Amino acid sequence: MSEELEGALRRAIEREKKARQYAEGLVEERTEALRLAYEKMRIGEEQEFFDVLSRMPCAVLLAQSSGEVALANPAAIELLGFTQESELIGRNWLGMIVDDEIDPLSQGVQEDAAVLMRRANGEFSAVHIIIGSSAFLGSPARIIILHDVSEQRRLHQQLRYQATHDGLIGLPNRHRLLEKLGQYIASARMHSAGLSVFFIDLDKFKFINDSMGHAAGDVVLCEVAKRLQNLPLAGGVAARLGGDEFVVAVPTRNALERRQMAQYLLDAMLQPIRLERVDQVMGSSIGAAQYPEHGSDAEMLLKRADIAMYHAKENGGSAVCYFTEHMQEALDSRYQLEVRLRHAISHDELVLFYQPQVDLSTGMLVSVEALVRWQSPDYGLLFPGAFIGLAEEVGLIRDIGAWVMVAACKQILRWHQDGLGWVRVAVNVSPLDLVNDEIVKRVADTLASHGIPPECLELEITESLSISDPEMALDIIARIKALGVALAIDDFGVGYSNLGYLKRFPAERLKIDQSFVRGLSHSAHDRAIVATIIQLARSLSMQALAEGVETEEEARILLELGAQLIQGYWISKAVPSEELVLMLRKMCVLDTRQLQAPTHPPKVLVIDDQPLMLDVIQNILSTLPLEVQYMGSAEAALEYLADNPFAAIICDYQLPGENGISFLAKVRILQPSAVRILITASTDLAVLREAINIARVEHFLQKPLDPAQLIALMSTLRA
Amino acid sequence: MKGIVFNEFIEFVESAQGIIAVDAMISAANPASGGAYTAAGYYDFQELVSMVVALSARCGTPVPDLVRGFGEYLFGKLVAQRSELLRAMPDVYTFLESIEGQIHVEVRRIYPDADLPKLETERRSDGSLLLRYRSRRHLADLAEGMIAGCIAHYGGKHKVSRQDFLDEGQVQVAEFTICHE
Repeated sequence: MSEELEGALRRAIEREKKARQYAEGLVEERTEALRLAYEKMRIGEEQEFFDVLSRMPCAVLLAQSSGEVALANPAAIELLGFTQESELIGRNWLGMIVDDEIDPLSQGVQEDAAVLMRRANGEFSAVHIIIGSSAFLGSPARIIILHDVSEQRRLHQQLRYQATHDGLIGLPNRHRLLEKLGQYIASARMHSAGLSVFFIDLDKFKFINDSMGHAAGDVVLCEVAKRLQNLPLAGGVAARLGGDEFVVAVPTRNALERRQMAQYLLDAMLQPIRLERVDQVMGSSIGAAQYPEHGSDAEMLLKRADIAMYHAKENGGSAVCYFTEHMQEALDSRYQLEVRLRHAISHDELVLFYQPQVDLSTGMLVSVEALVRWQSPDYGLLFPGAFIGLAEEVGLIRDIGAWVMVAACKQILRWHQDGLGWVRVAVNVSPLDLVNDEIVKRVADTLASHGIPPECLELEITESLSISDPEMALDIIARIKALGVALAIDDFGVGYSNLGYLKRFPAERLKIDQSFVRGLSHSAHDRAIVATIIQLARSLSMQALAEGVETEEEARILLELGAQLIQGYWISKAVPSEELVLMLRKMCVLDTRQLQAPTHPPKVLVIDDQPLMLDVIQNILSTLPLEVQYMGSAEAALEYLADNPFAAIICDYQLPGENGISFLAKVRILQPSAVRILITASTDLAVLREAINIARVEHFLQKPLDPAQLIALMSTLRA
Repeated sequence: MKGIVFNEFIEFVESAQGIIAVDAMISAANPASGGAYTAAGYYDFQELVSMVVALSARCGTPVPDLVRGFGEYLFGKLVAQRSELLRAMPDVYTFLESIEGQIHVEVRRIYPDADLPKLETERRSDGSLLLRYRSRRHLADLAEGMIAGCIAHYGGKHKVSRQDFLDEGQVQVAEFTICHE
């Protein structure tokens, strides 16, 4: 190798070595630069992460898998009750969980749970946590997001309390009761035990509420709630269903325990409650049903206790009634009746019967009252008493009323078409129909659709009207009247007669209730009442119509008292249309002459020891249609009176042995209905007062006798 | 200038004139780095200039011819290293047009301080391509050599002509016209 080449190679190798060293230095330099750059980037990212964490409104912890906290943001520090992060770092967050519904250590990417955590000051917070897997400084870690739900939990509990408890008195409500009953029944089933359910309804609550106001009602409810809670409920529950209805459910083992509990309840409700400085005894109707005998679920037990309560209430209240199957059957059959009645209305099972209304002075059949019957395929022919009460309770009465009105109008039209003229038909209107003006439209529509004169339709309305709003009822009545129909006041004298409303009632007829008619022949009171009603009707320009006339005597008395019309079995019961037609074709259905001829003259007894005086009286009375008996002594007269009734007894004040006043006092006891008349020459006020007050003497004849006075007095007598 | 260019230049001299010539050139130029270059290193551009001048003095070839020859050689080396660059360029024009917009962009991404020439291209109505060179490095000869290398790479069916302009301050300006032969 030439020296030149060798030198060149050596220098080339030197240069290569130098270049390599430089390259190695470069590599080192670049590696360090890279490391620094990476470090800078990592610190930057971490800082960014911490910045984000600290600004996050939700609490975040970063912890090792074992639970030691490595990082906590300000929200987490606050949530857990610490003041700075250093107090938390290194602490095991799992140790702060008091009530863990989940295992926060369980595997999985994310856990989501509600836990109770103990704060630094020892208080508890309900916390919703979400746990995720993460890494911290290169090691696997858990990121825990915490959300304080204490307030939500409190609101939730409050909401649940409100949803399950009565707002006024704090007792569990129906919803909660049903839940509890379900639990009790399950427990009773498991232990083969019994459970009693008492349904309590306060007897006087409505009265208190109506008369003293709702505030007083609230006081009652609160007091009742307190008493129920103070009872030895033995793990049972007292709840309020609403209104004045409470339920107590307690585990019971036998009849003795049930009775004991019932007695506690009755006694508690009988303790007076002081309202406005007055002690009020509420009283309660209590129905009891028990598991398992009367039902195996809460609703059934409650329903049956309610049924039993209803019976206790019907029997006068302040009593406990135990449910029996019979009650259920009665209710079921009532329900059956309701179902069939609904069916009956829509399937024309109702029929109208007609009872004649006769003019007492002419004997003519002037109008009829339409009475509904139910021709049931299941029950046979039913009278209104069997179904109208139910219809009123279940809201079918309007449907029935509407059906009756239409059927009556159809019948009026048919009779007219059959050549019987326009017959006036009265139909009954339920007071329930007078609470709104729907009936006005119904009457107008029915009349219009049948094309009959409105005067042919008479509506019978009971005098009681609508107690709640009589003004409105009167307004509706006036509007019905304006349609041209006839109105009658039904059952007069037995309701809450209000003469103020009566005078504004634009009726043509006043129907005297049959309870008064029934007593006409034997009760002076009934007679007086009927006479007064007739007089009242006359004064108000109404016709008096007596219902329920069953005997000729009643008819005669009514004629005498001035009644214009009668209706009742004595003339005819209510009959189907075809039978009524036979009566409609007759000119008269009643021979009024038979009523006007009295069968027996009134009997009068005259007692005077002076034959001269007896002659005078006999002379006067002989011209009158009377059967007169004359006697000379009180003693003989008293004996005779024992067996012979008289319409009037006339006696002289001066009698041998006994004066007229003491005699008439005895007569009053023997024959109280006889008219007592005393003949006296005395004008001594003391004598007259004694006669009036001791013997109840009704008339005095002054001596010397005035024949005209005696005749007038005798002519008012009846047999 | 990147050490890789120095290494390529030394290799170019060595391949053409042998290791003795390389040694003599470095010894004559006596660069500050001592002629030891690392591809990743960064060296003064004047070292390359003084080596080219020393080589020209030794072999008698004018400096511009040496630089052009190196440009043609360098193009071949660069293409061999980054062959994927040319795959998307079907011809000479496309390649030359993409230098400014693509290759220089890539280079600046890696070497933000790189002092690259400004190249503008324009297709002429006569079917030729005009490439305008502007650089403070005054390496229009290197550019001419590299264009020749490029033409050779695409089959040598084009020719390049050059027109020099007055410097714009420190910036050398030259226009190359590339057209079909």
